[in-house]
Amino acid sequence: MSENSSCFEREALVDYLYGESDADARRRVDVHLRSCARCADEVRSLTDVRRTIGAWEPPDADLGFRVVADVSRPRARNHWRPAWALAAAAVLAVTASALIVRPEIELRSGERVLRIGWSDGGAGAPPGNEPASEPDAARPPVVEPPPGPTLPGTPAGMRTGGGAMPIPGPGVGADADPMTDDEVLLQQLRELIRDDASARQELLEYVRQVSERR
Amino acid sequence: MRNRRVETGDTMSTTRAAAVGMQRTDEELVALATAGDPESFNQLIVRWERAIFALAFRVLGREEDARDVCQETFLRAFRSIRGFKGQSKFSSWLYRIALNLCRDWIRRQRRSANLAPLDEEAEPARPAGAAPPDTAEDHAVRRDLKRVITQAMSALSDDQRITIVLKEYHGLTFREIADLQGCPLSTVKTRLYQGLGVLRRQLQRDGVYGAADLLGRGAAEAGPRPAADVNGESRER
Repeated sequence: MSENSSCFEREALVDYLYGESDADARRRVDVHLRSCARCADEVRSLTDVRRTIGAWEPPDADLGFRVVADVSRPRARNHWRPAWALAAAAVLAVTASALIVRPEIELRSGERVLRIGWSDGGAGAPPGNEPASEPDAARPPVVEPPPGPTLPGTPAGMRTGGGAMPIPGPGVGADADPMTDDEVLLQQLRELIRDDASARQELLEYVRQVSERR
Repeated sequence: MRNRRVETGDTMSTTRAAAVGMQRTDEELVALATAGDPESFNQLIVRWERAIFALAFRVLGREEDARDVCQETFLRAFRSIRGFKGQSKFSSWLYRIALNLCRDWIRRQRRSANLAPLDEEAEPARPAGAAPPDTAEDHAVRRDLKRVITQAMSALSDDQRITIVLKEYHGLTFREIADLQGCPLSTVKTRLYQGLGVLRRQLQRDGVYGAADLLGRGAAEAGPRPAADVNGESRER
């Protein structure tokens, strides 16, 4: 007895409804339906449902899709680059940036301060780039960079981070030699590129150029 | 969602005409398309687009969405035609792609709570050569019946609706539906039986139970139907 008070298992009834019973099963159902009004009514009502929903036609849509280009060709290879290449590219970008902005590092009040070489000291700087207030004791001092050369086409006074980026110092004395810090920076760059021989030569060339400019 | 690689329109009539005389099986056309002949794939589109559109329309309930799903189905099929190894019928493979897209669409709609009303007023397709509706009354009855059926279908669960659509309108076998839905045969039959029960209650509530007879169109020949021809072509073709 199924959940719908039919004398058949649900599967047998569905098989019968859709004509997927084998011959023996179909004959058994037929015989039963002749003597069981309830099952006969169940089959009849479900058949009516099927007849009714058969009237549901899809709209007459304008289709006519057509492939007009070969999109099945293999896609262009995705050029994954190894980690060393990405690292080398990052170092290149840093080095190129250094060439452009010519950073200067000096110590004041116990902190190292990175100064952008071509910034002009604040004259004509965008208002939003000015420090919001005077530095206080809790904040690291920010040294206003001296006037420097302006790149052609660069807005006068364009600076980064208010013209100076404080870098927490390692605690060296206030009289530390800025050249010593530069050497540390160069050494760090060399260490970054030491893993790849082919990129090293090119990067070292950049480093050499940086050194010469200084 | 029109993709520039796919176009529609009357210019396709020559392709349709060519396809009429083409007696190649789906498998032969697939082999040609796999070998790099896009025109063979276009013939498969002509052969199957109406069925895929009808499937998507009855599952989603909206013409425009069904068109999008239909187009995307063939684009995906074309892109991955070389991955089709013929382990199933091409039509089953297409149905699978279309149903996956329909399910994705339903999920997106539910996530965005964008539950637009179902299309209930769209003019149904008439088979070529079929007589136009006779009277305004017939037209009104048919439109009302369509609206009621659409609403009744929306009362089904997604699985029930997909199962009933595949069985009632596309003539797939229980086994084919089970394979498409990735469920046991008994589950397919349960979904069919329960779904028909839901539809019966809905139609009785709306007073259109057995109304197809009133139209005298023989819209549905309830009872055993041939499942599919040699190409797996359904009656939507």
